[in-house]
Amino acid sequence: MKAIEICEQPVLSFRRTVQITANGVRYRLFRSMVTVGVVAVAVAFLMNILSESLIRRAIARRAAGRIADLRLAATWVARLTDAGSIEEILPEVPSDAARQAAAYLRFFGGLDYARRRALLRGAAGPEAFDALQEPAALERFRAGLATMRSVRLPAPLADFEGFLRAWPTLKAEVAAIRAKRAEAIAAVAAKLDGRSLIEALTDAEGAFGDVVRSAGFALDAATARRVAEQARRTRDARLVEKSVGTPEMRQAVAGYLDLLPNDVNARVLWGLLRHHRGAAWYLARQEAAQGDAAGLAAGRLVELASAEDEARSLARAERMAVASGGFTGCGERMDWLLLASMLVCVVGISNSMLMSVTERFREIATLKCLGALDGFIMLMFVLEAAFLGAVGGIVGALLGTLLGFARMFMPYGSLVTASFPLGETALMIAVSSALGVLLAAIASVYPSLKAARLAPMEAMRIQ
Amino acid sequence: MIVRGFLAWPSIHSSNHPPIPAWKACDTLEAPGRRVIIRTIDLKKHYVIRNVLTEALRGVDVAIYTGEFISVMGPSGSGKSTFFNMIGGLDSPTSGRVFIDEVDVAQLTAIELAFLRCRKIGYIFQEYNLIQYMTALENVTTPMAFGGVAPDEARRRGMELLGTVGLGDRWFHRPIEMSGGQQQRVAIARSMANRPSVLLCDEPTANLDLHTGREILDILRRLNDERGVTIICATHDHRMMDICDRLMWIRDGRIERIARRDEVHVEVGSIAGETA
Repeated sequence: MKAIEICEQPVLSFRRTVQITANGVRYRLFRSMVTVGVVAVAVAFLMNILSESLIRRAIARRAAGRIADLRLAATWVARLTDAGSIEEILPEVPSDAARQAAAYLRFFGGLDYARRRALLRGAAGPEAFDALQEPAALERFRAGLATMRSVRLPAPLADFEGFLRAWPTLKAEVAAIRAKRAEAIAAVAAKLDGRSLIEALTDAEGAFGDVVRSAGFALDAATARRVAEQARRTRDARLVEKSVGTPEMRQAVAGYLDLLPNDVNARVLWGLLRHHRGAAWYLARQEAAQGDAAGLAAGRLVELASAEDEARSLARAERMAVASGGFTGCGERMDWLLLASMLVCVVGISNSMLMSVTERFREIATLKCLGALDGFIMLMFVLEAAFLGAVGGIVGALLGTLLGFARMFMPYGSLVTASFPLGETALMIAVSSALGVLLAAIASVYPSLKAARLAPMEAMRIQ
Repeated sequence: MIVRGFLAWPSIHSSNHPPIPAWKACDTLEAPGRRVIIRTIDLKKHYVIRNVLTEALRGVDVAIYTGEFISVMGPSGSGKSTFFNMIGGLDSPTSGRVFIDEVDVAQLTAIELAFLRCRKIGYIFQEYNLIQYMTALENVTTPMAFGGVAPDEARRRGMELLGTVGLGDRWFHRPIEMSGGQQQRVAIARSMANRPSVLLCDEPTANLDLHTGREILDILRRLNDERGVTIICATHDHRMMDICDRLMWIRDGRIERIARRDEVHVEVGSIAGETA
């Protein structure tokens, strides 16, 4: 026997493998499209959920700030009407006890009803501190707390008892502030001269501002300007809404919009006023009928309408649950749905690749007869799947984002464009596309193994 | 197939002398300077299909020499294909040994087997088995790529091989754009890609008409003459007897007879207009 001159087969370069794979994919474009479609649908679903969740969060973030801003006038109206509760005043008291009180209130507020009942006999808010002044109640509180292992006071019990001793003083302090504030409110109310507060606040930059300041409220010039502007807007909006109240006006608007007079309401009116033409028409009618809104300009009506629109979508955004738990922030049911869709995707790709392998038995066997290594065959199929996964992933991610954007744009309109989370969405698109590749690669492992294990003698078989 | 029914069937039973034993048949070609390229020793292959033992090969001893053109004949189910798989390094025997170029195939690892299939043996299939999405040239150069030949060199050699089989101007065509005979010629070029010592042909002319089959056989004969490549050809085609050096009949998993061409009385018929 002569020495074996057989050496090891060289491994085909990655570039060449990719070339051969790409060639094959191009040839089997239709089957490839099926795989791509499966991946695209699954990834689009995921991306749609993710992008909606991202957009929703961004909107909610933006809405929270904007709403606080928009309600400045309303806040001032409230401040000038009511002296406020103990809880509202507590943060303004600059003492340690007040800070502690706020912390304990937060703690009691976080307890569920059964526990609060067991510990405090149902006392809510600052009443709890009053109730615990009695030694019997405190004893019961102590005993109850000892049995609840998951409930922890924010500070040691001794500190809490110390606080309880200081509570009457603190309460008196708060009451004094409250009384002073009520006095100031009365002083302001005396200067209203029969106007409503909103009407008075339209003059926040002028004389009424001075009145408020002299009563002891801190109203700086910038705030005063914004309060005045918002108050004017509210006043005008009320005027406009009131102006459609007369039967003649309703009739006219109904005729213009082709509605029943009964269906004409403030919302319909704002819809009409959103456009310049409608606003001009309405104004002309108002002037003819000497209506409430007669004094306003058409431009002002349009501005009010768009502000109304914004307020409405902000209100919707505020109501919307920001994050309802789960991985995607869309609830656990959605997570399960997503998981199921990923599974279906994996099964779909697997099936499609298996069919591809079965169809190509002879090709694979021939390649093996020509000297292809098992690794090459395996790599070829995994690469093919990964390539299809990448295409499907990118297409799906873009589609999903587009869909999510469209679905969010319907109800929230310009709020979406203004607060679109570009960076986060781009990141999520990249992640989803990568997920598509990963899913396809995972799904193709079994078919690829099957292909790689194929005996080369299959090539001899005649079909 | 009907046409073949008219052709003379060289029955071993028609000859007057008893079958030549395998070892003797081997000896008749033994000459100084001739090297055994494939040798099998008591080659057996059993399959168990649904708990039934099928003996595909029941002990085959054969030696095939370098530069030989040998035809393997036998009816369906005779063990011809199994024998082919064994000597092609595509399957491992149940017992017995196969030496290809003095190397015991059973001792090779999967990677060495791949090397063997890539460099030492060229395969030609009945249904051509070209890769559908590759051009003729890519089909021919793929084994070279597996063998580690540089792309430029592979291209040059591929064009040369396609020229040899008369398809130099159709290198950019895909299999689907070629006739059966042309596809088989590309397959022959591909099988020669890494200059193998042995060509294994599994009924290379079965799917072709008489004329095209003749062309394929001529190409094979030419390769055998000019390049000295050993050709082992499973066939039902009796024209093969015209051009091969030796004939081997397999029946029921055993070698029934091995004979030199001049020992066999072959009479190939012809039918109107066409020369077989």
